[in-house]
Amino acid sequence: MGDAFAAEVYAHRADLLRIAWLQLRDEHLAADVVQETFLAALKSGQSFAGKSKLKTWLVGILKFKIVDALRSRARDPIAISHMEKEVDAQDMNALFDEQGLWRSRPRGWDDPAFVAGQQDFLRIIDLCLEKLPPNTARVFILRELFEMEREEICDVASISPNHLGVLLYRARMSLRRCVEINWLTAAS
Amino acid sequence: MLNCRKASRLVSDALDRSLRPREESQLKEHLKVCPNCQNCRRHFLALRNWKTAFLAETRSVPDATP
Repeated sequence: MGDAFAAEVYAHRADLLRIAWLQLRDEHLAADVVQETFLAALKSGQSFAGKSKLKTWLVGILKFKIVDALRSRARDPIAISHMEKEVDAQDMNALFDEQGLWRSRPRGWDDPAFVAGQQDFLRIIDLCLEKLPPNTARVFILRELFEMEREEICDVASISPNHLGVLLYRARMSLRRCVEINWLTAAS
Repeated sequence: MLNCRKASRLVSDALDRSLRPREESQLKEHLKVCPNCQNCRRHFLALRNWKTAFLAETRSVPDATP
């Protein structure tokens, strides 16, 4: 395998490490799964026309490595009791009034003018993902980046479909608020 | 009749599963008259762009763990 390909693969290390860390919350484990991903990639010797195609492929391999790592940790009772706390929907009450109506009207951060900076968007999402409770961030990434189906996520995370629905809802609501707040800071 | 809290939960659910016919018609009705929930839906969909953006960009950070 050529060094050039290895360098191309390696260029994505920071991004993959970040995702692995958000999933596993352990630097060593994260470094391990990324390393395994690179070894698998280099061994297969596939070639890619574009940067983003290579990255898509790498993320696909990483997904399997992470799912394996999560499965082997699924018996950890601490992880599960931790997760139950996250379902507590206290902070939803800050968003809705007693009738279940929005308390305030969120600003339109998805306006074209706002979304102009893709780099900013990524930076802000990254920041906001870290602020989420770990399991909430975890299922959001499994769903949105790895595009796993509900059944598969429930299986890997050992949660019920309803629980998953709550976590994804909370992830989206929190990210939405967090992005809104940070766009305003970034824009000023 | 759905309130916004329930409607926004359905907006989220619809991204992950097919809604039951009753849920779907209730949500549709609510969205027709509620700009705030329409907004919420737009934002949830915008969050979906994260994947595309993430795959398109490569950042150059020396160390990805905090």
